[in-house]
Amino acid sequence: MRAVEANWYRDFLFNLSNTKNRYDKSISQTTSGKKLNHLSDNPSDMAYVLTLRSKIGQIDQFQKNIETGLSFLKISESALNSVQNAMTTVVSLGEQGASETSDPAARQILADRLDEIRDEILNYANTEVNGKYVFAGSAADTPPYAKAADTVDPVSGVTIPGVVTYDGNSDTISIQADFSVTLPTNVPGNQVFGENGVAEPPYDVFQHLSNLIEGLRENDTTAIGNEVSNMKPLVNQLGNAMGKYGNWSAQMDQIKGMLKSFKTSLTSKMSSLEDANMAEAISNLAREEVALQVTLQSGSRIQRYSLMNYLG
Amino acid sequence: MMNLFSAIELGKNSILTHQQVFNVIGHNIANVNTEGYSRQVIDLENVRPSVIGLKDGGRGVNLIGIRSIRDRFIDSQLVERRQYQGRYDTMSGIMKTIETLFDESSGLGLSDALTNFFNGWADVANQPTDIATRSSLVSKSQSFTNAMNNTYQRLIDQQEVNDSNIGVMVDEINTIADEIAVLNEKIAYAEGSGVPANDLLDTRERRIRELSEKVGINFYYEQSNHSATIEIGGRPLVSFNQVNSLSVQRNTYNSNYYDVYMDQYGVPAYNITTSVTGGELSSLIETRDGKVVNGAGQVTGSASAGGFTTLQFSQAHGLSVGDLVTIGNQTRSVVSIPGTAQIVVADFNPAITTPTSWQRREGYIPEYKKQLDKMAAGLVYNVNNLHQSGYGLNEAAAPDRNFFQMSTQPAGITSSVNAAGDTVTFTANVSSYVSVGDVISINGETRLVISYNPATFQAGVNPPFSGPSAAGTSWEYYNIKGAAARLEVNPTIAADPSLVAASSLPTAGVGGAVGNNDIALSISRLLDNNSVIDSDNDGVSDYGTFHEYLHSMFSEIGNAGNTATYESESNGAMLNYLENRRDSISAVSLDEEAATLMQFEKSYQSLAQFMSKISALTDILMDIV
Repeated sequence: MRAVEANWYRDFLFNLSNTKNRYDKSISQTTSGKKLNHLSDNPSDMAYVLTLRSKIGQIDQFQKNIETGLSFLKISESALNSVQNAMTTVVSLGEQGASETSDPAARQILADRLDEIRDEILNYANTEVNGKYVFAGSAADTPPYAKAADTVDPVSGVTIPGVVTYDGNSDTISIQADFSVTLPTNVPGNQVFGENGVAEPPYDVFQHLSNLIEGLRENDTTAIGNEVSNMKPLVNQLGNAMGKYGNWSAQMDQIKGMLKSFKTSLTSKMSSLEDANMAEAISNLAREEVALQVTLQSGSRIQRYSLMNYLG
Repeated sequence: MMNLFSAIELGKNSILTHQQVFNVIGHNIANVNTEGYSRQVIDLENVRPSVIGLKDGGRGVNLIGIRSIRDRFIDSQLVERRQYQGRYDTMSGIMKTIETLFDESSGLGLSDALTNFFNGWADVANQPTDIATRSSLVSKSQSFTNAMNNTYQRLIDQQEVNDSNIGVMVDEINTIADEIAVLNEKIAYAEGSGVPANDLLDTRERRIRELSEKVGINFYYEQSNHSATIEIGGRPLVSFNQVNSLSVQRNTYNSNYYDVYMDQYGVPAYNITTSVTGGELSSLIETRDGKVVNGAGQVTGSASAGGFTTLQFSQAHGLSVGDLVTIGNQTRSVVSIPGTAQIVVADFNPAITTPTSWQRREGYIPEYKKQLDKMAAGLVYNVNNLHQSGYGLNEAAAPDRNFFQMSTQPAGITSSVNAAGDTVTFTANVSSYVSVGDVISINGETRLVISYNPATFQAGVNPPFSGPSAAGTSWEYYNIKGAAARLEVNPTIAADPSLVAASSLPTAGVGGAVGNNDIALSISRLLDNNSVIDSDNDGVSDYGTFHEYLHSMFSEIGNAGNTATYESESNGAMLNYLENRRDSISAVSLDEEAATLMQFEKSYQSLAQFMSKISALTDILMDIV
């Protein structure tokens, strides 16, 4: 090969451009902190990273869903817990009233106390979270239980507590907790407190309480005894609902934990694919810098020596 | 006496010859940096005695020729390589631009907008009664539809940039072709009159290389007159001093983009758009229209002047409406698809009669646009289908409301659905509204169109509608072509987010199921559904989630970009090597010229001294007189 000046310059420029390209790549890796900056940087890794990122985006949403669901469940659970406590009081008051030792005056006092408890339970049944009634099924914007005015029994002349009606529906609301899991977040109120005097289970809590109060006011020990024994299935009914809530929140807690560790593993996988190894990137950058310097220096030496210099 | 004078004559001639040598050296040194210059060398010859005889000596040195040093083989390789270089440099540039449209690594791309859209639905499922959450869903949806619209529009912009560059490129090619024709003539004239045309040859070589970078050419040199004949796709662009200029004409079947034509003597210009294979021009055409590939099987057809042509294929064609089909050098687009082995295109002229092979397009911008369209149609189909059965806040009757806006029926054309629910009959031809792959909505049910027959006005749908509908039923449609550009949230919902249908039950009045989230939940779960996009137009969604579909498109773009960059880099290295090879043979070496200069300086000096000695000798003789 003849050595000609043109080739030296061409090779110099060609190599300089290659070196600069590598230098550019190193710079963009160190400044962005990422190995994958464009779709073409590594198309299959890039697609994988995007898939991982969309999965992580979904997991974030599931975690949000679960938080919403849990806040529902916890509030419903605590309301039901209070209702259960109230029912314990109801049963013991009812038993006092049924006892032979009580006199009519004492029974009136018990009845008044029970009337208060009935209103308390009504309040719990109308529990709301952010303006949504938790025991209304999906009719979440209206209070599920409404109480009519007290009435007077035309025969015995005693005051009967106002009838409580259910305005909610039987709808269950679910949230998506995981890629393939949806979990309910409510038991419709008619499953918990019963509905409009329906005799079949689920029993109407308010109706039975009303019956008990009426029995006490009318001093009817047989009726009192019957209602006290009717309270047992009611307590069980509430217990069942409690059990459901507890079960769902336990499941959600479990999924929440799983999602957290899944997300961690996805994130670390994603990071291993897309994040630049800084130690490596920086040492690459240093190396490319040296290469660039050397290339530039050798470029400046081209044609320093030529026979032309010696022509006198 | 005679001999002394002839010695002076000898010296004079030789000195003149040397001056010419210095001229050539100077010319070489002056052109040391001239791209494509071939160094010139002098051929010297000793001048023979005029009369062959024992007593006569030679008569000095004469210049018999100036040759330029070149290697035809390497020259033609360089031309060849330049066309790849032009092609892949341009392609890699275009692909880099396309890549930047999909800014996915930043977390602001389509992929993330899609996730946010579905997460917006999950939020509504969590808080169906909360207006703020619904508003946030609407704005997330709009971010996503805007991203789709913009990406699609940017792809069209790139096609238009390519298109106008094609126009510019054609002008540049014509200019160079004209120059080559002029050079051909000059070279033939010079060589014909025995003058070496070294510098003209260099210029022509340089022009041919430039031309090759712009468009793939074949070229060869005529033995008779040294002219270069240049062909594109087997048709002569330059032959001797004739140029068949290129021109552009808009093709109404291809979005009014330019087709490239080549003049032919005495007959109409020939469309060479699909036969351009190298150079920048090929990349511009290919990324704009897709790569030309042979379609499967043969095609026959019939022509009806000015109307439509139904083409019959010997096997399934796999085309979509709007795809380009080329037969011979005629390119048309698919208007409708009556069957898996049939298409309707705008009139072919002349008609297609005998079984012919055909070409389709594959990949690049049209493909990316089609994939975005498919994705948009998949979203409209799935989301609207669910949304139509739902209720907004405070609604007693199902409102049949679309979440994504669809087009209302053209005035005066109504529909009816048969008992099986699988065929919709229109009251007029709707081929400009309804085609295979479109989404159609009747009575609150959304379906995919799998066939349309312009003769019977009947469209096949899959899955079938749940039942028949009477004549006169209104309908809505959503065209697959350009679907991504039109994707839009129903303006009624955008204005009033309470109309987002989250509930599957009536929501009005006391006990209304405002807290029901069945619809919102189902829509949010579409994100994980792996049969949502029907990519082969059979009405059955094919395997893969929205994200998987999108990501495979990104891989395609990334790979195309990678390949182009790789080709451009490896061709760059190859070209560098070839140019070095060429220059090691043809370029000027200053050292070499310096050495020659020294060499001839010495002999020039000696000649001058020789002459002065002869002159002195003559003086001695004269002194005698």
